[in-house]
Amino acid sequence: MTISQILFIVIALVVLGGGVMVVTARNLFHAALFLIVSFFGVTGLYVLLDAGFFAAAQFLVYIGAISILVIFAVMLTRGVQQAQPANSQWPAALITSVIVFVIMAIMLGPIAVTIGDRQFGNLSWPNIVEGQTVPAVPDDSLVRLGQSFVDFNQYGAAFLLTAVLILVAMVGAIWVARDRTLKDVMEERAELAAEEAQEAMLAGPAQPALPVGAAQVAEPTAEPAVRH
Amino acid sequence: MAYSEFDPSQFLAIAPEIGLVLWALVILAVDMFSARRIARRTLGILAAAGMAAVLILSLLIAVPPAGVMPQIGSDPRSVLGGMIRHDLFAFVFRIIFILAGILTCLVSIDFRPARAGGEYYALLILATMAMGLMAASNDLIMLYLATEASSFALYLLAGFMRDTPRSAEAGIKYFVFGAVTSSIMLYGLALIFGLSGGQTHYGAVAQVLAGADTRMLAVLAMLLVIAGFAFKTSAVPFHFWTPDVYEGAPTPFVGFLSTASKAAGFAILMRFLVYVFEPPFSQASVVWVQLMQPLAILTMFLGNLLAITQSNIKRMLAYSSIAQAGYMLIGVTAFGFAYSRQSPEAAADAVAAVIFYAATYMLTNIAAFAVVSIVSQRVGSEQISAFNGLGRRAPYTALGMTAAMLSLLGAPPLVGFVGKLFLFRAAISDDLLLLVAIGVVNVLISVFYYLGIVRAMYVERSPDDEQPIRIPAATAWVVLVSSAAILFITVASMQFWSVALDAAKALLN
Repeated sequence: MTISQILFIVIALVVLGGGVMVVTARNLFHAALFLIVSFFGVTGLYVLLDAGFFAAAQFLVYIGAISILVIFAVMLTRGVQQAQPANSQWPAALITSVIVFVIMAIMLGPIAVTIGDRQFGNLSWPNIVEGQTVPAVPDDSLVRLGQSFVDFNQYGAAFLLTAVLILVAMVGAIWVARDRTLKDVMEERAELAAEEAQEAMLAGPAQPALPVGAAQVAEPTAEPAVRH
Repeated sequence: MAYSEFDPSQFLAIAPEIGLVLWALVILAVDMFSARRIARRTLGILAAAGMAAVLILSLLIAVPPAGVMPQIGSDPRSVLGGMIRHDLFAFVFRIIFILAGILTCLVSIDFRPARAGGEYYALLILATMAMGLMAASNDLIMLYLATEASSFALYLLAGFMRDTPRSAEAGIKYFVFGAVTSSIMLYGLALIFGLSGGQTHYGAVAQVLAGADTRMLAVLAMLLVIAGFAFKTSAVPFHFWTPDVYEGAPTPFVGFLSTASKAAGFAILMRFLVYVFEPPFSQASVVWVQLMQPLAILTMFLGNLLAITQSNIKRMLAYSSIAQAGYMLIGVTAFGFAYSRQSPEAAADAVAAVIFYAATYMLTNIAAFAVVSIVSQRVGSEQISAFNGLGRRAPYTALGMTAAMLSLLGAPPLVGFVGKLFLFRAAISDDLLLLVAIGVVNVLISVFYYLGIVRAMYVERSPDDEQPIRIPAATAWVVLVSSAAILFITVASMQFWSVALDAAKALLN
């Protein structure tokens, strides 16, 4: 076993252990802290893969920003801090995830399993030849990454779409989070009244007298709009 | 490394999308700088007008050239670094999405509970934009980003009435299910990325996959990706979100969700499967060709049988939309079989049938939801009984609703019949007689619930029979235009069919 293999196992244990603790911790605040441990392990994986930029981005964005955001969210929503980590569906979830894990392990793992005349596992990946060393990451990889984002012959279009994606998320986040002020409610009511008046005018004065049941049915049309 | 030469005329391939993004920003700006009371109605009309302008402009300048056979290995249609394929297939789907967007904007104006403002219309336009990119995407990265961009907007619109518990529930449910299936799909895409040695363009991926001894893993990756597509098209077994989300979401938006989003799902499904797992060259393709048939059968039966038991009109139409996805899957099945036996004409027929059906289903279902949105507001109930006596209370609207129901059912003079005919014909030419028989049985089952609405409108009586329901002008126009189109397309079906056929050939060239 080489040193990098040992390091990989240690880091993988950190990632997986952190992940397990996130979903089993009773205290939501602790779960958020274990999330940081797991993110830290992922940073280590990027370092092992010689992907320095992604390691830095993972460190800054996930550990630095997203974890803090999660912790803030946990602290600001008191009611859920002591939530039950499991519900009645956990046995089904456990069985499903074990099945998926076994399938994945067989398909991706080094052991060849033969069922019928088909061989699963121990597959040869394209572009990887046994015994060949992986070529080193070129020095200008970061420059290339940056250029590929702004070059429309590479990933420029996808990069632009990412910007639109974030715009959608931001518009939506503002809409979901914004509080309705008293002024909004007053405005909405005035608007509604104006619409109703206009409608009554359009319907004309020659409306037949409503039967008793109709008033009850007709009333709720205005109700839902006022309530929210 | 220097920048490579770039020809700016390639931007024509995404001209409709550029226009839509700009228009969404205009809508947001107008909303910000104008008084809210004036803004709401005007914004809806402005959004619809802008989308119509984008549609007309792109019909004038951005229609992809038809009929050129590209050389193998270099695809001249593939532009912007291979991210986008500039072909008629994508363009026809864009027309479907933009038309759906326009009609939905007009219906939303008079849907009071949503109080649709600038955010609503901007999100609707951006969702339309992302669907256009979905249909055009020719690259795993573009596929995922476009799918996510449209999904984000759809999640938000489903939960737009955030103070109404049911709408908020619909938004959250759609978001959670969507996030899970999207991560499943992303896992499949990542496996394909690894299997192909780091390629993302469909063509390059297909070349590596066809030559590599990675069959079972490729099948697994393909199934994971298909799960994501099945969620978008609400095919069984990824249909479970549909009734809850349709019930809670703003009604005019459901018309958009059930048609445009479903059509986008079918666009990416067909393009991805035939480009990446091209039968018969890709070994893994056998699986998807065989899988589509049981998927179609299950989806049709589940949708139709459960629709009968519904008393809420929006839930009923949700199950009906699942069943309609099943009918379209018949076309995809026929497409797979035809392509496997290397018969390009039959394959193009099947793809064209799906396109034709998706387009007509869009018109029909948006008309139906327009009527539902106005009737449920006026009567104050979303039960089917709210339609009692509509034939006397709003005769023209009831006529439009009848046309929509009969077209969804597939009754002869209406366009739904022509669409089903094309789908069944494609299946028959591939000897899928059992599938066609099951399709016909399902059409018969659906008679129960579609005619149930018609019966409620004309036979049942309501206590308010004497009191007419006033239909707002914008909604009335939408119902009028789409039900007129339901009739007109039948008459001119061969013209529309030839456009769909050209689009299908553009996909396969």
